[in-house]
Amino acid sequence: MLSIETHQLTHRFRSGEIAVNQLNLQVPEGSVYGFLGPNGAGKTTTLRILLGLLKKQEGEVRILGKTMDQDRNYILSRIGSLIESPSLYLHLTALENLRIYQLVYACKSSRMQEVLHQVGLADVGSKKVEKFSLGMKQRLALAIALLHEPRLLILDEPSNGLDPNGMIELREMIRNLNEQHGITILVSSHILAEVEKIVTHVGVIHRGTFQFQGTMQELDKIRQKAVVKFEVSDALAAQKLLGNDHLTLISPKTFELHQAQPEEIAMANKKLNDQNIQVYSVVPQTQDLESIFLHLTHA
Amino acid sequence: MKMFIYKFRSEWLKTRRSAASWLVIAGGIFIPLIFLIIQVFKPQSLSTLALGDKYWDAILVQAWESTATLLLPFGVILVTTLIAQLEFKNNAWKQVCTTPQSMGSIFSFKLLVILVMLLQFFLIFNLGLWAEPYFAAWLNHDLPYPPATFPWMKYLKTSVLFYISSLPVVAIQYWISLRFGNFLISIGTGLGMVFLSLFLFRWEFGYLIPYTHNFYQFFQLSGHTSLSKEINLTFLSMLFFSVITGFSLLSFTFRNQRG
Repeated sequence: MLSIETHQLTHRFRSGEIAVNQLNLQVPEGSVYGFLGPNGAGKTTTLRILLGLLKKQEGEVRILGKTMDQDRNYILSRIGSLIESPSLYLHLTALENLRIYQLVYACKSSRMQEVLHQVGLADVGSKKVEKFSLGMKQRLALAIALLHEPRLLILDEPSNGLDPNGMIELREMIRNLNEQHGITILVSSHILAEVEKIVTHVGVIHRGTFQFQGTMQELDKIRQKAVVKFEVSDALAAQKLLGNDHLTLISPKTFELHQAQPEEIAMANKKLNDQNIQVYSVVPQTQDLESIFLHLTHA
Repeated sequence: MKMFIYKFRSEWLKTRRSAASWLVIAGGIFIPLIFLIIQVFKPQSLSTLALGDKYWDAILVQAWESTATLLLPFGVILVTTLIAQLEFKNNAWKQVCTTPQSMGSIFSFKLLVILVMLLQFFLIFNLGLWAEPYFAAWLNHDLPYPPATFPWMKYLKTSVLFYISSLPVVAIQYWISLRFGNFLISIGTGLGMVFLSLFLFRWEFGYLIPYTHNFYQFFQLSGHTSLSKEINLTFLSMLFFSVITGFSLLSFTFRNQRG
């Protein structure tokens, strides 16, 4: 079952520029979905449409099986969100900020301490938010998003402005919320390395359209077949022999095979051996999400 | 009913320690405090005490003279703007608009808070006027207590009339503040209109400018009627308030972009 599903979602700015173009977003229930793309790719616009902050222009949106037009309150009472920078009343304390939303969601008062504890702010509940660091504000914003025990969490660039420690803590928190509490999480980011370690599903958006959408395993397959570096006795002869369009000569003794399936790599190796071209090493070029992402968005 | 109270408390909580909440208290005690200082340190400059039975009537007119023309309009403009701007200032609209409540509900509870704060101002103001001579007598033993009993009903009725004549300004300022995120646009427009109204209330159709209503109300209180008898100012203020609030609600609800 899908927690979020969009069909041909399209949004144009007033200038006519297309921000989101026929997007078919599919976030499975129970997943941690990494919504990736460079700045200006259409991530925030998409998330704002999902949350009803931007009016939907074209296409369909279903969240938890319902539409925002008909079941806005049902959906919003089951979603926690953190869009861009934290939305906090700086002149109030952390607990007062939570109280504002606790009253609106009509959830138990005890939840305020629970979520403060959950995000590691239990000791600073009565401190004014204006005295908080950015990392603490981000955590408090997350606490607000968790207050009403949502089934779905939408986080837009939650690690913006966090230091490396803060990023690690946030990552752990997201993982814990998903694994321990079964919350489906849609997290957008342009810092790819940080979500790679926690997401189960990935969608890569560029100029409003998906370049890739699937599980991490599917992405790993692309990663595996991406680039393999061969070190041989004669790279030029190897190129003539393999005649592969995806082959790039690096030096007289090295070349790279691009977009190669494991079977193709084995076959290339056999051909080289058969022609007495000595193969010294075959090294898969480990590609992090960053390079896959760059490859996808520049394709 | 439970949700009504919850939502109001949630909205009211946002005003805690805010500039608007201090402004209401400061604005409410300002005139009584001025009276107190004058009475204690320069009792001869206040001739009202010699008025005997008419003491409270004279105080009422004197107190409302500066309140109706400047203090109240400025206060209404500032408080409405500051409350409506809380979300802009704290970048919180996107969070508020993703809570499970209709846009109409968000709009109404915020407006209700402003109206209650205005009520709070009137309460502090009247209590201040009532308590002021007793404080003065306590501080300066030469001063007598007011000779007549406090005319609660008259003060209440006057406050109700000024409250109603302030409503259209609340509605306009509320709309501007929600429509434009910039604090200065709202404050600038409001203050500009108040100064303009100082001239416009002499115009035969000046009552069509909501910012003049407090001036007319004061002239009626002081017995200098400058408005035709066929014009019901209270009704007009309520009509303006209803129409402008209705328009503002629609504008807020059907906005393409929220937060």
